[in-house]
Amino acid sequence: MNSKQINYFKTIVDPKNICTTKEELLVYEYDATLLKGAPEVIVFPETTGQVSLILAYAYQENIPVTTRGAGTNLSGGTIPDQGGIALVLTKMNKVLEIDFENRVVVVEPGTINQELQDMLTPHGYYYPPDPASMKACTIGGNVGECSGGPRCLKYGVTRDYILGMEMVLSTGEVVAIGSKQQVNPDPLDIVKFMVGSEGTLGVFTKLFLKIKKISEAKKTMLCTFNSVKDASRTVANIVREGIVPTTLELMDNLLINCAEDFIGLGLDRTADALLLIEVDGLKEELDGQVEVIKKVCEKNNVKGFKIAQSAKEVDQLWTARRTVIGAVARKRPSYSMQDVTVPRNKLPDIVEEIVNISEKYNLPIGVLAHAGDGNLHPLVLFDERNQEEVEKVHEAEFLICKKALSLGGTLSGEHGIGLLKKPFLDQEFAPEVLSLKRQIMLAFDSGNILNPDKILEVGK
Amino acid sequence: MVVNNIVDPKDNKELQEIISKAISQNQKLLLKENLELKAPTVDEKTVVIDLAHLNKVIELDKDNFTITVEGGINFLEFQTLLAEKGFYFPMDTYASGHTSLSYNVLHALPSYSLGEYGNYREYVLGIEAVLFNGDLIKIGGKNIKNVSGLDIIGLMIGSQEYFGIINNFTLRLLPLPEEKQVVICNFKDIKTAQEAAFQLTNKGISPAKLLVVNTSGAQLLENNTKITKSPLLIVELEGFKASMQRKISILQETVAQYDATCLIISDNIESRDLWTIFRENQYQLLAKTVDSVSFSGFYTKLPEMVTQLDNELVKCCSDFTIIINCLIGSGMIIPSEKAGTDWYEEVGKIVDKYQGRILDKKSFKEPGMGIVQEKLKAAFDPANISFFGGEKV
Ligand SMILES: Cc1cc2nc3c(=O)[nH]c(=O)nc-3n(C[C@H](O)[C@H](O)[C@H](O)COP(=O)(O)OP(=O)(O)OC[C@H]3O[C@@H](n4cnc5c(N)ncnc54)[C@H](O)[C@@H]3O)c2cc1C
Repeated sequence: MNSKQINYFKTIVDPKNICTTKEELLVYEYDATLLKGAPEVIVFPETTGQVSLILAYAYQENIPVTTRGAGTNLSGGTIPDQGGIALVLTKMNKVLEIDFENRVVVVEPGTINQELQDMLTPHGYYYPPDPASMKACTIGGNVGECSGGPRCLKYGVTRDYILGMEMVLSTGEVVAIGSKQQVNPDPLDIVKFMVGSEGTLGVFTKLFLKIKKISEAKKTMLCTFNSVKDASRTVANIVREGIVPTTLELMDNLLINCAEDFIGLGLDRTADALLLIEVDGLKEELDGQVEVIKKVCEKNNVKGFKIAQSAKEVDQLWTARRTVIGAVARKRPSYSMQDVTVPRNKLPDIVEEIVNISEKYNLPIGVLAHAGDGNLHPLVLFDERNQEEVEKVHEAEFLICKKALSLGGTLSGEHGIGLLKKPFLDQEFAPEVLSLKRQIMLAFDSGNILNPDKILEVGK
Repeated sequence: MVVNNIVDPKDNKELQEIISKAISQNQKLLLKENLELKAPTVDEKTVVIDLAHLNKVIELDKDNFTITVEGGINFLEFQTLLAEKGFYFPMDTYASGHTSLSYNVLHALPSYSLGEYGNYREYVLGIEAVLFNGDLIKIGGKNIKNVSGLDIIGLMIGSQEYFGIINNFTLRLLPLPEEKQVVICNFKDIKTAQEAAFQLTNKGISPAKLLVVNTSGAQLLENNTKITKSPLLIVELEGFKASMQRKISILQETVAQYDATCLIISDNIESRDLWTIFRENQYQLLAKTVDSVSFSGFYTKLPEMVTQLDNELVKCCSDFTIIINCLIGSGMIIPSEKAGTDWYEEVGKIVDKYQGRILDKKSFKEPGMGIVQEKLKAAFDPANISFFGGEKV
């Protein structure tokens, strides 16, 4: 970009909302992956009108635009690898409307997920998508990735809670699609299609979300096992018994120990696996479900089975789950997290392969999983400064992805493709499907300026 | 109408050949079910696809709670088959008995259980489809979550045969609920029925279905002599036995505030028959009528809006049926055969007054998306063989 182009943006937004120094640009080279790529200018718009003008100019001048929320994604989705503009939406962070009676909320995309939850909880409502990063991540980013979270086994993913949106197309045109009502007005649901589009089809500037009433009661169980296989089998068996828990989370021994080192809850450090299970609903429905779950656990050689007795205990268990990713930093300086998903009954097979890969490459790999969804986050621990180790991490991750696909799985359950998994996409999809995806991307963004060549190589 | 050109492919390869031939010979294509309700005029060159032979269950995976099935299977037969095996696919539409799974999904027909059970996208995990560009594509599988780069499955659902035909599905199933009860409550007017429904959505009892019908709508349950002809609230409660009694009590207390009386149907066969009659009558009514209209509204505004619709429509068309799905705040108005066209305008005015929306029957109506939509269509159907694609988008 030349200085004329950069200066033009100062005529659109307040100059204090533009960063161009080397130090400032450095901060936006990153997301939560190890990838890097520097933008040429960072722009923080405050209104839809500003976003529209920025995109119209970028379209005219053929400047790449990387849209960014909190930058916590795990797929390289906000790395400005082609330079251009980092369009950061964190200043568009207002909750514009909360309508409890009609169960709809209107937010700007930079709203932090947890902040929205904090506004809803006292009134007995919640917004179901709850990524573990919810304290930092934005709703715009959640929509960009179609984020999930522990609750989505029963309550679904972000896609199921987006009713409509205001969006700016790559040309700068502002469109409003969907509505604040619960049904999409058009049978062809473009709104839902935008969810998970990873910043490649348009920039969301307002989002209409569906909220739910908090259930009357819940029960949280902590179950430990002597083998990951037993824990995985328990997961498949619980659902077969006719129970759909709110959450079914799995951690292996390495991660149990990381969590214990970090918050010291008294978790069983010798257990090979832990399941965190929660059921919710009306009071009288829960005891029966807990009983069935206990029996299933026993059948699968459970080591310890405990029901949380107080809200504090429940909170502590969830804190352990949510902070475990950060806690691994105490073991090794760097981690890389995968996001493969397999059919639920294939969990034992993929876990077995991960153990083999860990041994083969001599890399510690912790297994964290939204096990009810078959969605695994193997955490490969290493040292980024050791190039040889980095190479091994790439190889190990490729093998994990390959195994998942061979088990009928998919490359990504909730983190998206971005740059990280782009090289593997042709392992999952036939050329016709990739060509169709490319045409769809060009239908929305003919100049390929929005997150250009993320997900797949689009070209002009 | 005489249609000469009906083809019934026996497998995916044959379906692909039919579509390739249509591309090379510039023929239009549509599914046979379109000819049954409000049939469009079809010339003899148009190819009508009957999926009836593509009706096999390929795999019922009990561990993963998924089924892989061909799309030509009759939707109602499919659900019955699942129920017999202890599984549940909760979508349920007025056309279930008359249409294939493919047709229901491609047209995203409104299910009575939308709301508590979400929409089709939550259940369609994998598809095999023949696109109108001739490609046979396979996407997804048995994975509950999948965000591997742009949701083509989601785009195909509701694409109304503009893009191609889905001929195989892998669907997420649910466990069959332990218990089901249908409760029918008689109200003195539609407003109070609607108000009671709104209250019920806030009581934590999560009904699977929550419908309000006007007095004409009560005739959809014609054979049931126990039901008085008045505005009705029809509730299906399902879930665990342990909480059913309390759910019923909450329901009864709520409707009692409006002096409504309830009939509880606990017998599974009786409630199944009730829905069969309801569905079939709605379907027949739709087959006879000049036109129907669907709309959506805010929960809080529905009681007033529906009351006004009920009052005003009497003036321009003597007999009409209103069915409201209260879980999603959406309704359908079906006028009698003799209704003129004035009613349609009247509905538009009233819906507008309460900030509701008339729901489009045809896809590609999102404002401002014209060019994008044209290009999308061109990507899937470059030769413009979709029968519906003949109309300018
Ligand atoms: C510790 C940790 C735990 C995590 N746990 C989970 C989890 O449980 N579940 C889960 O799903 N993910 C999880 N993630 C991943 C990540 O937090 C999510 O993907 C999150 O939704 C990203 O939000 P963000 O605001 O950081 O978006 P960003 O990372 O800034 O952006 C994400 C994508 O959305 C696009 N985007 C952002 N804003 C817009 C907009 N307004 N319009 C159009 N496109 C936009 C971007 O271009 C990018 O492609 C975790 C990450 C970390 C670091």
